[in-house]
Amino acid sequence: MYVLIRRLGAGSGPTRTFKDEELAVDQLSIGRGTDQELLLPGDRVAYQHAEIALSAGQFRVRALASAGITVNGRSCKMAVLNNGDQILIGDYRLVVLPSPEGIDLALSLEVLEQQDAPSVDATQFTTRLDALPRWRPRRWAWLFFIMLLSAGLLIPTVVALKPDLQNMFRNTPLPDDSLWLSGPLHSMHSTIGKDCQACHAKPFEPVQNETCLECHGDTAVHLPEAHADAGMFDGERCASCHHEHNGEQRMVFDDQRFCADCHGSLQQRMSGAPTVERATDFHADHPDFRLSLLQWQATSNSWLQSPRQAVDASLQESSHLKFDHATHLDPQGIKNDTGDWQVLNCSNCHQMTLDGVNMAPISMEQHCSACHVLSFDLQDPQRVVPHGKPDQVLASLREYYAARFVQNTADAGDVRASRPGERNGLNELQREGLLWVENKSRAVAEDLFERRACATCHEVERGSEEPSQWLVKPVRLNEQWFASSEFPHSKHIQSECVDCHAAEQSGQADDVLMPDIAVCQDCHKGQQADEGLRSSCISCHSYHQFDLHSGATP
Amino acid sequence: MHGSFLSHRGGFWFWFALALVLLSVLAYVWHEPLGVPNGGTWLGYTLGTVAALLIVWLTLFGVRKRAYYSRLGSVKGWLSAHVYLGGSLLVLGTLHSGFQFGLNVHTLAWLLMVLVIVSGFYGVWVYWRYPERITRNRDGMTREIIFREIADIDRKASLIVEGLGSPADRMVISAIQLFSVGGGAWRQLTGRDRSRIIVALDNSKKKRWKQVANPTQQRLLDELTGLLSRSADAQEAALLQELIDLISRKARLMRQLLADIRLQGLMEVWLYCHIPLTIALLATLIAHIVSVFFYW
Repeated sequence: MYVLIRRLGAGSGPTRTFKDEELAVDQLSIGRGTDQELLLPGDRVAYQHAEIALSAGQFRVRALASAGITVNGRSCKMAVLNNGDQILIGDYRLVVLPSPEGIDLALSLEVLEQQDAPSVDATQFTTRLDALPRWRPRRWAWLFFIMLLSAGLLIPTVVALKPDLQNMFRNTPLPDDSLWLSGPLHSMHSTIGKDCQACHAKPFEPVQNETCLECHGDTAVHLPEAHADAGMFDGERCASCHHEHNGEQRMVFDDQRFCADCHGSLQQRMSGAPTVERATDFHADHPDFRLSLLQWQATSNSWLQSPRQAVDASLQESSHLKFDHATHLDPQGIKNDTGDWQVLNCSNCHQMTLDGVNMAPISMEQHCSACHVLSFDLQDPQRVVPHGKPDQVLASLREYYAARFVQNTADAGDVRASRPGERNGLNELQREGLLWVENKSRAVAEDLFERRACATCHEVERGSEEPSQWLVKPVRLNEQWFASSEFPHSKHIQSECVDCHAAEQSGQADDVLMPDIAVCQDCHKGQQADEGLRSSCISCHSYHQFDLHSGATP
Repeated sequence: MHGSFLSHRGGFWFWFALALVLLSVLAYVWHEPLGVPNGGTWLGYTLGTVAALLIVWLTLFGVRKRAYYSRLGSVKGWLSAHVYLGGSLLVLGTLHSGFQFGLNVHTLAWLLMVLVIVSGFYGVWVYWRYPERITRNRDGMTREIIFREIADIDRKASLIVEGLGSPADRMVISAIQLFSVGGGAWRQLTGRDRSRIIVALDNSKKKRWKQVANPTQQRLLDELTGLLSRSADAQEAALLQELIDLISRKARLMRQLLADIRLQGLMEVWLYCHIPLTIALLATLIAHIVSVFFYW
């Protein structure tokens, strides 16, 4: 249907202004709501206040809001509209006008009062943060406080104190005492996992040494219990030097101040005279090296590692070996067994042990015998005596010359060799042979022991008794020059051997070829050094291994 | 005489805090602990104790602020000390950590401390700069006056559209009814105008209405300008022109209002982080201290 709305403006009577508006609607909805066909914005008008519909040829107005409508002065719910009827809705007055051509319904509209014109209402807007109920700081503060105190303290404490709850919390994403972990465990300790109680046995008590010793029980102490000053270490904790929860690094503190603390003032600290000198810094404050040498104890027929001795020109090794480094290292070479010149270097004889620390022992068979052949008979240079005890050498010689005697008599066609009937007792030929073999063997042996093969390298003594006995003095090379430090050769392979060991100038096996501390200090500076290789005490020494030879010192 | 809390007593607390920071840094540089720098050395314990006491004292500012009858220094003096000592805590707490960070309650405490301090710094900045911006934006009015002005414009516009009819009446009235400022925190802080309007869609014989956005009444102004350009009636044109003038003024007031809400919100919002984070820090600090000695 087509509806004409005539909005009446200012003025009165025939001069009154108006504005016409045509609507094409199924039915005319009236209300304050913006979806209404006829919008009456007054506050007293409902959103859907009324509607006018055409039914059975009549226009009917029907109230939809509880406020109702007034038609021709009477409040009603519904009314049939005729020309001239007045409808009051809120402060609006609608009057039914005669319909012009093409219009089904014509209505005039005027406003009676304007007090309730729509306008913004400040009270319906929230324009301050403190008006937001969810934003109360106190509420969030309490929430955070309770959450963090529970997750960060209460639950971990319960987990720490209740072993039966530990698996449940530690194996799930629930908060547990791993939140207290100040840093990662050293990888060697990582097998402990989340079991904090493995070390932290009692709450509020530092980790005890006994806990460490459960696994590290065979760790040597710095001073043996029998030592008069062993009590100095009472109360010291493993954790004083070993700080856990710092990851891979720093499990062992390498700070030299740990050592210098005591080793800078041993005189005052120890009850007796200290056996080691003051040392606080390898480069600035460290005594000269003192060496431990091997000493042969003739009385007990054994080697003994001597106490550490200061190094001076008179210090000599006594290995009972005759050896000339200078000759062997002659850059022109040295004549070998076949008469050729061969240039030797250190590694022909000295090879590192597998652990890379020391040099492997030298052996005659492996290192010397290629040149030093123990031949004894010029006519038969391939024959050698064994590198063994004098008795074995002599026995070997006898065997050889006995065979030679038999061969010689057979070659000479000596008839005595086949004379029958003389089988019992020594015959003349046998006696002759025995005598020759013994004399020949001893003569050769004397030559070997006292002038040639053996005497080249060994100190040999001839006994006073007859027939003469020889004694080859036992040979042993020192391997533990330093009593309380370790020198890993493998870490120094970029240096030449002769950089430290003056072997090229050494003509005697007795020469001590250990370097002076100054040689080390060329590269190794103190821990605080600005340049050079910073070295602390534990670069060479170990706290838990005080003296390799202490058992041997009187 | 009025003066900023930042320069209270000639910046006494600034110099005090600076001295504290320098002392800590020098001690940290000079100190060569056995092992690595951490909270467990003597310097670490010292810095940690000082920092923890500072945190407790800084928290007490919330109490002092409300104790109106307290004679324990002026609130302004407290605030000055609160700001500068709070700033120094950033250095003290970090040095206490020895720069050892991890996924644990200790680093959480440090992180919360940093967040509290950073939110506090933001607060100092807004208290320093925003009051002036807010005053300038309000231009001599208060928020209530702006609202009343807008309401007045609304009423005038409502009267005018009575003589204009559809679609102007529908658009103007819907723009008043669908006017919106503020709301949740996000809306207040972004200051975006979410007002809407119902406009006519003339794409069919039967008129259809559609609700669309009307930021700072711009859509309404566009529509009214369109009506004005199409109007052949001088009386109608005059009413439309009057309406456009009113709505333009309303748009300007709305921009002021939105900016006022936004600036006020930004000036206050840091406190809504600062306070709960401070309390969260207290809880974590307790957990930190107890746990360190629990597993000594």
